[in-house]
Amino acid sequence: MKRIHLTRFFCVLTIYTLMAGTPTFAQQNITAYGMKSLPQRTYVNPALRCDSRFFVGIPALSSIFIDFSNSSLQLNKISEVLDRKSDDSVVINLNKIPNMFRERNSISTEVSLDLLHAGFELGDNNFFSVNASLHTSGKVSFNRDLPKLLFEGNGGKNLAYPFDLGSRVDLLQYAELGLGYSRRLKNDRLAIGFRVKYLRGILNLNTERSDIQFRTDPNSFELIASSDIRLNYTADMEGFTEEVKDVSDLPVADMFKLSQFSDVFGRNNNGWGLDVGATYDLTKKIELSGSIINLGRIYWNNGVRNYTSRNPGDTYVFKGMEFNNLDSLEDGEYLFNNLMDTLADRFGLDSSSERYSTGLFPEFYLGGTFSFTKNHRLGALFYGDWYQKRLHPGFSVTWYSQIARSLSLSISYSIIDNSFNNLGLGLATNAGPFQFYILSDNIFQVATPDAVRNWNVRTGFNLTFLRKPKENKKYEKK
Amino acid sequence: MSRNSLRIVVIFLALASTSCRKNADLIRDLEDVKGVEWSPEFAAPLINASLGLSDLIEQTNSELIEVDGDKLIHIIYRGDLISIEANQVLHIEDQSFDNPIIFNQSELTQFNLADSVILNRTIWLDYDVEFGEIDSVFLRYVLIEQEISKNFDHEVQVQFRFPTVLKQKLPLQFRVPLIQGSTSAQNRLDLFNSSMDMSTGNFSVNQVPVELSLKVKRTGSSVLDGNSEIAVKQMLKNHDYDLLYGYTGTDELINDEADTLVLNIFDRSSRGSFTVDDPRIKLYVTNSYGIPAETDIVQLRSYSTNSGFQNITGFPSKLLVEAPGIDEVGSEYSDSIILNKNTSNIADIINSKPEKIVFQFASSSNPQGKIRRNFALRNSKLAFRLDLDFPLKGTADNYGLEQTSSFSFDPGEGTELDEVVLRLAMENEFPLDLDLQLYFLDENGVTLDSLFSTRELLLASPPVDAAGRSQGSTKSFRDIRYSSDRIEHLKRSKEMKIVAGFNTTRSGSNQPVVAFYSDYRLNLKLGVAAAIRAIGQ
Repeated sequence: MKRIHLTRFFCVLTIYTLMAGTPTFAQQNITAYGMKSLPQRTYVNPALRCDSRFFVGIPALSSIFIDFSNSSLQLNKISEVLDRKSDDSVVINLNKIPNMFRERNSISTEVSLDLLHAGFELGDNNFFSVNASLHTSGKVSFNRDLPKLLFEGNGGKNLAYPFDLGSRVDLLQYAELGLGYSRRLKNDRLAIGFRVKYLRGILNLNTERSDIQFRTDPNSFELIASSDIRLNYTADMEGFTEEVKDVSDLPVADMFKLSQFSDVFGRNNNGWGLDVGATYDLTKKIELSGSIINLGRIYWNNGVRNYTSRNPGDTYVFKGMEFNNLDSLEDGEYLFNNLMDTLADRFGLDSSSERYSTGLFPEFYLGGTFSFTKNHRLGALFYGDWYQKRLHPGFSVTWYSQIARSLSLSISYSIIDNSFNNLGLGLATNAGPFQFYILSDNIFQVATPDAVRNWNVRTGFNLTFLRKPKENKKYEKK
Repeated sequence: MSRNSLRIVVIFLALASTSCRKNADLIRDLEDVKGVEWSPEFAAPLINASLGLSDLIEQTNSELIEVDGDKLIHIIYRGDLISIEANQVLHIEDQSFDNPIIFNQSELTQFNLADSVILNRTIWLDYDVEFGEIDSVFLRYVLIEQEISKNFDHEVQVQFRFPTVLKQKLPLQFRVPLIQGSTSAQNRLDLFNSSMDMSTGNFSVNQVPVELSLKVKRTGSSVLDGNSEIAVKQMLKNHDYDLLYGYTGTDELINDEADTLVLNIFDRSSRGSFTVDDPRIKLYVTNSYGIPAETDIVQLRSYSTNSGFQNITGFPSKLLVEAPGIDEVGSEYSDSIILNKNTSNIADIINSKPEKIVFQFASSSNPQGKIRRNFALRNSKLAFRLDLDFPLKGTADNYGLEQTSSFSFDPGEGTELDEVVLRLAMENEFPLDLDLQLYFLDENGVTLDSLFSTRELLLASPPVDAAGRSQGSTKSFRDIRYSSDRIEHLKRSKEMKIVAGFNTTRSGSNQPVVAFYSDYRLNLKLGVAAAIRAIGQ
C-alpha cells in the first residue's frame, strides 16, 4: 500500500516538473545524494552521513564543483535558424533566432571550492563536520521579448505587442565557514542534521528590480516605454568600488579574480546561512529524506553602490522628433541629440551608496530510496530552488551500487528544466584511506556538447578513516 | 560490474552515438552557410510638430514675417534702397596754398646790424569747399605737407603754428630748417585726431590761420634786399572727418537714382489666382545728417512680363525730411509714405502678380534755404527703405506652386525594403485647402512614380467667421504605402517635383476673404513602418 502511494507521489512530482518548464539553477550534485562513501553528500542534506567515522578532505582539493545551466540555448538549436535554399546553399535566418528561446530564459553558473572539509563521529549518534569553502555563482535571465524585438522588430505583427525587456544579472561570490552536526534518534530510524554557516561576502551584483516595458502604438507608431531598475553592486576588494561611478564602469571581467582575496576579511559584508535536513527509515528497505539548504542572507555594508531609475515606472511616449521650423528639421543630428538627451534624462540611473542584503539561493530536496539488496538501491529525488520568487523544480531517479568495498557507483537520470537527456554518473574509489571521486549529473552531455543545457561536475580527494563495513541500524539489531 | 550496470553503460554509448550523427549534420550545414538573411519590420514616429505659418515660411533679409497687434501675419518684402553717407556727398577736397615771405626794410636793417633777424607773419589758409561752408571740423586724419624755398644762401629756421588746429588741446606747431647750401626743404606730417576751427577769420568760415616765425641767420655771402624771398607752400590732403559743422547749401544730394524691389513670391506660381485684401507700400526715409532734405519721388511703378510697367498712384511728389538740430548730433529723423488700397491702386497692382517694384527719386539739402547751420557725422546717412507689406488676408483660388529639386534614395548596400508605410496625421487650423503631389522623375524628366495615385485633397480648411478667422480645425489621416516595386522607382529617381495647390475656404459658391493669424497651427505627425530585408555574405 505504501509503495502504491509513493509511486503516485513521484508521478505527480514528475508531471509537475515537466509542466513547470522553468529553469533550474545550480543544484548540488544529486548523483552524490545516495553515495554513502562520499563525505560531500552532506552538502545536500546535513542529516546524511558517509560511511567513515572520520574524514579529512585534501585541502583545496577535496571538492571542486563546477555547474553550468541554461534554460534554452543549445548549440544544436543553430540548425533551426539555418535555411537551405533551392540552390542547396544555406543561409542563417536571423528572424528565427527568437524561436531558439523560451518565454523566460536564464543562464547560470557556479563554481565552488572547498579549502577545508573534515568530519568525525562522536559516540554512536553524533557526527560533527566543519568546512571552509569559496562559492562563486552568476545568473542571467531575460525574456524572449528581447531577441524578439532585436530580430523581428517592433513593426508588423509586433505592433502593440507589449515587450517585456526586464533582464536580470546576479553575481555572488562569498566565503563560507560551516559547522555541521547530525544526530540519530529513535533507534537510528530518524536522523536530523544542520549546518550553520558564517558567510563573508566578497562580490555581488544584484538586480533588485528590472522592469522594462516597451510597446508601439499601432495607429501612430508612437513608442511607449517605462523602466524601473535598481541594481546593487558591491566589490569588496581593494580599489574596486571607488572608480565605479556608472554601470558601464563595472569591472565584470575582474569579478572572479581572487588575487586580492587577502582583503576579504577586512570588510563588513557578513551574513549567516543554515542548512537543515532529516532522514527517516520508513521500513528496512525504504528510506525517506528531506532537506532545505542555503537559507540565509548576506548583508552588504561596505563598498556598496546602488543604481536606481531616475523616474521609476514613469511612462515615456516618444511621439517623433519635435521641431519648430523647417530649418531645424534639416538638422537631423541636432534633433537626434535632443532625443538622446531626453531619453538619458528619463531613463537614466542615479547612483547612491545604501546598504542592502541579498539572500542565498535556497534549495530543497525530497527523496526516498528503496534497497533491493544490501549493495543496490534505487532512489528518487524531487528538488528545486527559488530564484526571482519562483520555484524551479527538477526530478531524478538514481541507481546506487556499492560494487566493491573500494568502489561505489551511482547512475542517475534527471529531468531538469525541460531537458530530458541528463544522465548522471558518479564514481568513488578508495585505496586504503585515500579516496578519489568524480561525479556529474549530466555526464551524457559531455559527449554531446552541442546540446548542453545543464552540466556539472564535482571531483576531489578525501582521506577517509574507520570506514564501516556496512551500516547496521540499531532497530535492525533488535 | 553487475549486468544491470553494463546495460546502462551500453545505452549511454548508443545515445552518444546518435548525438554525434546529429553533430555531423549540423557541421555540414554550417560549412554550407553562404550568408545571413534578416527581414525585420520596424515602426517609429518620425515627426511630431505643431507649426505656425512663420515656421513654414523661410525668412530672409528681404522676405520677413511680421505679426501685428491683432496677431495678423504680414509678409514683408523689404528693400534697402539708396543710402547716402557723409563722405560721399560732403567731401573736403585737397587744398593747396602758396605764401611768399618778403623782407621789409626794418628786417633788412636788423639783419645787417646783427647778422640775424626773425620775421613773424600770420597767413590764412582759405579753404575751397565745394559743398558750402565749414565752421569747424573734427578730423580723423589729414596729411599736411610744406615745401619751403629761398633765393639766398643764409640759413633759415621756419616755425609753423596753427592756433586753431588743436591736437590734444594744444595748437599744432612744428619747425622746418632750411640750412645753408640748400635752396629748399620739404616737410610731411600725418595728423591724426585733431580739431580745426575755421571760423576765426574775416569770413567766419573756411579759414585756418597759420602763424609763421622765420629766423634768418647769416651764414652765407648773399646780400639781402627787397627781392629776397622765402616761399612757403602748404598742402592739406586726404581729409577724413568724424564730425563737421557748417552749411552745406541747397545742392542735390541724390540725383534721379533708381532702385528695384524684386518680388519672387509669385515666381513659383504655376496656375490659379489669389487676392490680397489690403497690400501696402511703405517708403521710409531716415536722416541722421544735421541737414534738412527734400525728396522728389520721380516714379513708383510695378513691372510684370505680362502687363509691362504700371504706375502706382497715390504718392506725393515731394517728401520733406527734417534733420536733427545742432544739439542733437547722433540722433536721426525719419518720415514715411504709406500707400494702401484706399489711397492708391496698389491692391490692383499686387493682385496682378508683379515681378518687381521700380522706384526713382531725387533728393536735395536745405530746401528752405540758409535758415540753420548743418552738421554731418562720418556715419551720417540719408537712407531710403521700401517695404511691400502683404497682410495675409485675402483669397486663393486654385493657386498652384511648383518646385523641382534633386532627389536620391538609397536604403544602403545589402538592404532591401519590401514595404514602407508612411502614416500621416494632420490637424489644420489654417483656412486653406491643400492638395499636394510629389512626382519622382528620372534623369530625363520622365515621371517614374508619384506620392499619390491621383491628385487629391490632402488637407481641408475649417470654416471661417465674418472676419475671416478660422473656426475650429479639420483632421486628416492617411497611409501612404510603398511596395517594393514602387520603392525601386524611388531608387531610380533623380528629381522630385512638388506640385501644391491652395484654395482658401469656400462657403458654397462664395470664397470669402480669410485671414491668417499667428495662433493658427498645423499639427503634423508622421510615422514610418518599414519591412526591411537585409542580405549579407
